[in-house]
Amino acid sequence: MEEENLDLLEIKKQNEEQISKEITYNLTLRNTEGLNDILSSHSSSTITSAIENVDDFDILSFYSLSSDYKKLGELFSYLPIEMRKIITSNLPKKVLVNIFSNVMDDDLADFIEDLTKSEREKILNILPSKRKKQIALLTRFSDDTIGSFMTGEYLSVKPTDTISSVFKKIKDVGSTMESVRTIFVTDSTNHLLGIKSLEEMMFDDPDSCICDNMEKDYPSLSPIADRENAIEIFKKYDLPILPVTSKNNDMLGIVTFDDVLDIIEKENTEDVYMQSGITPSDEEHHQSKFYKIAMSYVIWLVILLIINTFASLIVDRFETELMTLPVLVAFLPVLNDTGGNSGDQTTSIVTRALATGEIKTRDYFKVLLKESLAGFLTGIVIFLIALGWTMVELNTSIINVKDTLDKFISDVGGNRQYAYFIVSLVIASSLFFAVFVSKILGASLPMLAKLCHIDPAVISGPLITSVMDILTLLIYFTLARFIINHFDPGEMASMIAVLGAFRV
Amino acid sequence: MKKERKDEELPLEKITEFKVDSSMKTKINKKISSELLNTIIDMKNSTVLNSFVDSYHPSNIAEALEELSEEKLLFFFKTVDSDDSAEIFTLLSQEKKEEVVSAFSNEDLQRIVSEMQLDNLVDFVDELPSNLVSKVLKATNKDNRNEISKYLNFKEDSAGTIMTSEYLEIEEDKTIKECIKKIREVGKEKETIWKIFAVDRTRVLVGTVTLDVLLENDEYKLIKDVMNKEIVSVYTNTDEEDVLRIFRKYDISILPVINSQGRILGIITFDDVIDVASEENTEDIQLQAHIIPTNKPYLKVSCLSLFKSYAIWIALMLFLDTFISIALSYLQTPLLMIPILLTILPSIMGTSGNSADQTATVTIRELAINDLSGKKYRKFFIKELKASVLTGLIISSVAFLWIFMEIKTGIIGDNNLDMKTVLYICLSASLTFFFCIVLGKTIGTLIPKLAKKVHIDPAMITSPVVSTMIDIISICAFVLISHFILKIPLF
Repeated sequence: MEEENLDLLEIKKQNEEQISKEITYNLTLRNTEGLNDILSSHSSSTITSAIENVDDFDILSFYSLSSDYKKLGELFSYLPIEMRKIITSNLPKKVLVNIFSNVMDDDLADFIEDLTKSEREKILNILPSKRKKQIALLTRFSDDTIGSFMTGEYLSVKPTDTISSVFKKIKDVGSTMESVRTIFVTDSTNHLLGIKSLEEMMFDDPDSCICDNMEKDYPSLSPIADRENAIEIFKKYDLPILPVTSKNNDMLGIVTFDDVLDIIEKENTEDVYMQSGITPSDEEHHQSKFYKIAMSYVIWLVILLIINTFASLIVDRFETELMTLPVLVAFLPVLNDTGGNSGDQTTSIVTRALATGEIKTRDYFKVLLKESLAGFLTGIVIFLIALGWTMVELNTSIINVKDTLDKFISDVGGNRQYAYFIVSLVIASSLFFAVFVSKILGASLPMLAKLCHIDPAVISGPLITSVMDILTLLIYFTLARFIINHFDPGEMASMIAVLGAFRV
Repeated sequence: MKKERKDEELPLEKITEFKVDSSMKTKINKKISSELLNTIIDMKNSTVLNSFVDSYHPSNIAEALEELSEEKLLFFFKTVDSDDSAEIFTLLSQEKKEEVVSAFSNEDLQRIVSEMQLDNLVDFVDELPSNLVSKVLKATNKDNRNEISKYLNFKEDSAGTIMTSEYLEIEEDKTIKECIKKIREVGKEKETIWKIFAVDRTRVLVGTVTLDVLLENDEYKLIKDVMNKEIVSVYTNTDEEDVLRIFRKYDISILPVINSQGRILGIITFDDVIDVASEENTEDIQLQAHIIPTNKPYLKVSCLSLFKSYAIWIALMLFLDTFISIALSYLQTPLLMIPILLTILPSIMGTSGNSADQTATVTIRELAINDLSGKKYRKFFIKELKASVLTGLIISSVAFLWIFMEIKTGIIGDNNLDMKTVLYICLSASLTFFFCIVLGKTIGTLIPKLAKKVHIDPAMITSPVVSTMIDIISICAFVLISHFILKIPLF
C-alpha cells in the first residue's frame, strides 16, 4: 500500500512535468490556442506547480500570448514578486484589467502593498471604482491583522429575499465569488443581520424568507485582530467561512478556512525559523531573492558572534588549566553541545506552552519545579553515563592522550586510573551542572522575556545555546580548577575503594 | 421500571440542602431511582448535581441514567465534572453510549473522552458502528487516537484516522434534479453536502461536483457533464501531513479517501485538517529542540516522562559527540601551541553550527510545505548556495575585524604577539568561518533531502547528523587552515 500511496503523488508530479514541457513547447511556437487549451484542462494548482519548472522569462510570453484570463488571474498570486512586477509593467491595460478581475482581493492588496506609490496608483486606477475602494480598504490593515487578508467577494442578500431567489442569485453571480458556501444577509446599510449556509438552505422551503431560518448568533472576526485570532475562532466553530465585521456590525469582508491554513503555515514557519535564528520574512522562500535570504541568516549570526566573545574570554582566562590538563580541550565540544541542547529543550517547551496560553507567568514556580526536577534527574543519569564512558574512552585510547596526560599522571602520584578518574569526574560533574543549570535557565528566561513584553520565542534556539556555552565553559573550568587544586591521593584512593565496594 | 425499596431512597425534600460530607470515604452504594435523578437534573443546578454525583457510586448513577431521555443525558454529561462523567459514561450500556455519542457535539464529546481510560476507550470504540468510530476518533487526543487506530488497523497519523464515512455519492448518469432530490432525502445525515462525489456503475469515483455548480446549471443536465473530472484523493494510509499538504496545494475543503480500486471509503474535511495543521507545529518544534515529542499539553506531562524525553536525546548526543572528541584530541597540538586559537575555537564551532542549522531548518520546512523535487530542488539548492556564499563573505569579514579587536583590546591573548601573527590569526579564523559557513549550509540543504529520499523523517535525523558533522568539519578546517597560514606543526 505504501508504494501505491507514493504512486499517487508521483503520478501527479510526472503529470506536472509533462504539462510544463507542453507549455514551453507551445510558447516556442507562439501557439495561443494550445496554451489556452492547457490552461482550461487543468486546475490552477496543477498549473501553478507546472509553471515552477518553466523558465522565468517564458512566463511573460505566457501571459502575453494566452487569453484564458480567469486562469491567468488565479495563477498570478503564485508568481514571484519580481515576475508579477514585470507582467504588470509590460502588458497593456486592457489585458491587465481582465487578469486582475480574476485575482482575489486579498492577493491583489498584498501585491500592491509592496509596490512604490506611483506603481500602486497606476494599478488601482485601472480597477472599477467599487473594487478600488475595497482594495484600498484592505491595504490599510497591517500585515499581521485579519483585515489584511479578508476578501470582498462574498454573496450578500436582503433579509426579505426568498430561498429560491437566493438560488437564482447564485446562478447569476456565483462563479465570480470567492465562495457561496455561506450566504450573508445584510440590510440596506450593509449591517450583517445573519448568515446561512448553502447546505442548510437545501432543506428549507424555497418560498420561505431567508430571514426566517438564518443564524443570528454567529461568530465574527474583527479586522484589527491578530491573524492568530482567526485560527482560534476557526478551530472553535468549525465553520468554513467567517464574516469580518466592524464594531457597528458593518460587513467588511470574509475569511475562508484556506486563508486560515495559510496563516497556520506562516505562523508555523515563523516559529520554526525563530528557533534556528532566522529572521522571518513575509515572502515565501521560492519568491525571495538570494540576498534577502542571506540577510535573514546574517543578522543572528552577527549577534551570536558578538555574544561568543564572552566564551572566548573565559577560555582565555582559564588557559592554565588547559595547559595542565590539555585533555580537557577534547571534551569542550561535548560540554557545549550538551548544555546548549539541554537548554534548547526546555526553552522550546516552555515558550510553546506560553504561546498557546497553557501556562501564564504566574505558573513560573510550577514550571521551575518541574524543570529543575527533570533537569536534576537527567543530570544524574548523564553524570553516571559520562563518568563511565569517559573512563572507557581514556582507557581504550580512542581519545589521544599520550603525552599530554603524562605530566598530570605523575603529578597525582603515578596512578594512571586515578588520573583518568579525576578527568572523568571533571567532565561528568560539569555535564551534570550544565544540564541542571540549563533547565533552570531555560524555564526562567522565557518567563522573564514575557514579563518584559519581549516575544519569548527570541530566547529559544541560538540565544539560549550561546548563553549556555558561556555558562558551561565557566562551570567546566571552575570545576576543573577546583578538582585539580584539591585532589588528595589518599582521599581519592579511599573514595575509589568505596565505589569499588559498591560495584562488587 | 425497577421497583425501588422505599426505605433506601433519599427523600426529595432534603435535596436542596444536600452537602457533600468530605469525611465520606466511600460513596453511598444505594440504588437511585431514575425519577430521583430526573428531578435533580431538572433543578438545573450544577452544584447540586455535582454534589449528588460525588456522593453516589458511579454504577448506580449509570444505571439510573439508562432510563433517562436523550435531553436529560446531554444535560447530565455537560454539567457534571469531566472525570466523574467519564467514569459514569464507561459504565453505561453500549447502546446508551452510542446514543450519547451520536447526540453530542465534538466539543462535549472531547470533554468526556479525554478523561476516559485508554483501555475503556478502546473497548468502547471496538464495538461502535463505523460512522460513530470516526466521530469518537476525532474527539480523542492524538496519542489515544493512534492507540485506538492500531486496533482498528489504520496506520498511525494517517488519513484513515481522521476521515469520516458520512459523505454523499451520486451516479454520474443521474440528472441534477435527481441529485438535488437525493440531497433533500438523505443529506441531513451527512457530514457535508457541499461536495458530492460522482461514481460510475461500479461505484468507482469519477468526479466531484459542488453544491453551487448544481444550482448554477439547468436541472436536466447530467452530473457527468458538469462534474469536475480532475480528482484529488488520498489512500487510508496517506500520512496526515501529506493530507495537509494536499489541502493547501489544491485549495480544497473536502478530500475523498479511496481504496486501491478507486472507491470512496470516507472523506476528510477542512476542520480536521486545521487540527492537524496546529498539531504539526508543536511536533516539529519539539523535534527541532531535540525532544522526543510528547503529544500532551505541558501541564499534563509528568515529570518522569519529561525527564525521559530529555535524557534519551542528551545521552544519544553524548555518544555521537565521541567522534568530535576523538577528532579534537588528535588535532589539538597546533591549538595548544598558539593558545589564542583555542579561545577562538568555540566561536567558530558555534557559528558554523548555527549557520548549518539555519539552512537545515529552511530545507526541512520547504520539503514539508512544497515537496521539493526535481527542478524545484535544484533551483532551491542554487539559491541557498548563493545565499550561503554571501552570508559567508559577510560573516567572515565581520569576524576578521571582531577578532582583531578582541586581540588588540586584550580580551583574548596577552597582546604580546607581533602584528603579522595577529593578522595571520585573524585571517585563519576568517577563512575558516567562510569555509565552514558555506560547507555547513550546503550540508544543511543536502541531509534533509537525503533523509526524505530514504524515507526517514528529516526533522528527526537532520539535527544530530548535521551538528556532529559540522563540529568535526570546523575543527579540522580551523586546524588545517591555521597550519598552513601560521606554519604551525600538525602533530
